[in-house]
Amino acid sequence: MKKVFFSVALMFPIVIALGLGGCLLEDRDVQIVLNEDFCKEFPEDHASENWTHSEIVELGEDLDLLLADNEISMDQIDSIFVSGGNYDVTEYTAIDHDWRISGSITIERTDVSGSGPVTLITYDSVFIDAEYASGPQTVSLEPAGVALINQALYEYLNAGATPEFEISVVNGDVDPSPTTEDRIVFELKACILVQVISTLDVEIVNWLGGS
Amino acid sequence: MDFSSVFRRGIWSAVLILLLATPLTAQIEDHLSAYTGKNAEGYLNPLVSAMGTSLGGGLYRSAHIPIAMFNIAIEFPFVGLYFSDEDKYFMGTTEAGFSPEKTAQVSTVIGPTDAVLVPGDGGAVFAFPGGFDIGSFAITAPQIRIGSILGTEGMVRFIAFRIGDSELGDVMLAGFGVRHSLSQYMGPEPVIDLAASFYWQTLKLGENSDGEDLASTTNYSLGAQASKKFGSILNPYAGLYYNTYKTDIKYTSEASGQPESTEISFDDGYVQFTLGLELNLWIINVWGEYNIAERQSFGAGFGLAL
Repeated sequence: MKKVFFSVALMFPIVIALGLGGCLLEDRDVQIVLNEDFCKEFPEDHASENWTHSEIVELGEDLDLLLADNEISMDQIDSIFVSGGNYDVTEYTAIDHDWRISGSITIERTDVSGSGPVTLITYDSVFIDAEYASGPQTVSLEPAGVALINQALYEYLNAGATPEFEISVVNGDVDPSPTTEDRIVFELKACILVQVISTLDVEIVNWLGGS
Repeated sequence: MDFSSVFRRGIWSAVLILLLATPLTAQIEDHLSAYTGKNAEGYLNPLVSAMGTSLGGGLYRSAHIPIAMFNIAIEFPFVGLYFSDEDKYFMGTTEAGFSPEKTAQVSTVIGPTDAVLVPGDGGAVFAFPGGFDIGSFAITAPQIRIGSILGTEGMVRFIAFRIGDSELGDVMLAGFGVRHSLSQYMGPEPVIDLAASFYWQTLKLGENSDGEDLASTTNYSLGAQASKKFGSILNPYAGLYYNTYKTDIKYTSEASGQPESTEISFDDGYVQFTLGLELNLWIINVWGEYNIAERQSFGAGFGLAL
């Protein structure tokens, strides 16, 4: 009797499950957001106020890796765009005085011709000692730089482009002025933040309905 | 389709029944990765609240507990609720790196599926992820009730599945409760049946990218029930409970563009009043109830009793 009882009891959820298993699921096209930062370090060691230091950002290849890591195909992507930027002083040895620097960070596409450098970030009177170890500082981006990157992202998504950028720190002023005996030495890390919106088809259980 | 595949489909469906209206947990972590703690709390709050509320329902019905008699019942309670329009949105704040900082009304996990875009300096745009567009939540788990000694009975809930690579992840629900008859002290023919109860449950869902539980909830319920049997079939009942739950979510945030392990916690305590009607049909009992709390829910179910 007990064996029959438990067998009958256990059948109920399975019977219901078999009957309703195909009816419980609803499809949803859900937009997720992937965040990625594209960063470069700029180690600086100068005896003058003016310098230009350039690095290459292989944006297309980095985006390919991002999509592969998240198992997202190109046809699942709705849009890719610039969402922000920051800088950070990541290396610095304190001395008896601080440095205050001013200048800009520019970007230029190197995978297509005819694209001159445009300003992405303008920094003004940044105190190196104060910034060191205080974490990434959010910056206001310049429209021309954002537009250049967004155009490259659009071409990556829609035209099969593999955009590559030269990102340059163009420093114009240091206070006090460095000398051969008193060199300015630090490392700056600059990042561009990009977001990818992707639509994924998922199945959810919504047995009671409603939305 | 052979029997073994049908059986596996039934088992998988039974797991889905266990977590009716629970979004696939791997997809939740994809959405959460766009958020740091504060936004993640707002995003998840309706689902966490629904889980905590639902675990407090469907536990007890008749307050009648024999002083000393072996009885056993297998029960299949179902507790569900509908979300309100307020549950679909929260005020999200743009994450670090975006300038200027802004707040906007954006989707919670049960809200609209579309991302919300906010313009910023220089043409930059910040996107908040969409939700899963879910209108309701339901949960069920089989339980076994055994009694009684000195007017005390025990109840156990347990179900655990390792789904492996399934997007649902691991699932484990376990609970234990005791109930004691108070009406046994009210004379040989009490006007109504009264009982006091305590219940503990834990629910673990999914697996995050670090291999830990994505979400875990612990629920306690302390309460009292009253019931009155009319004839051999009708058994209306009521219950008053104080329920608490604590939910921990562990996930990897990539809001800054780099992975960061993030943990957020929710905890709440609330009073719940239950009104229900049970029908005793030989060895089968069926019931329906309504739970009044900070979030209303309803329950139904059936049981086989010896």
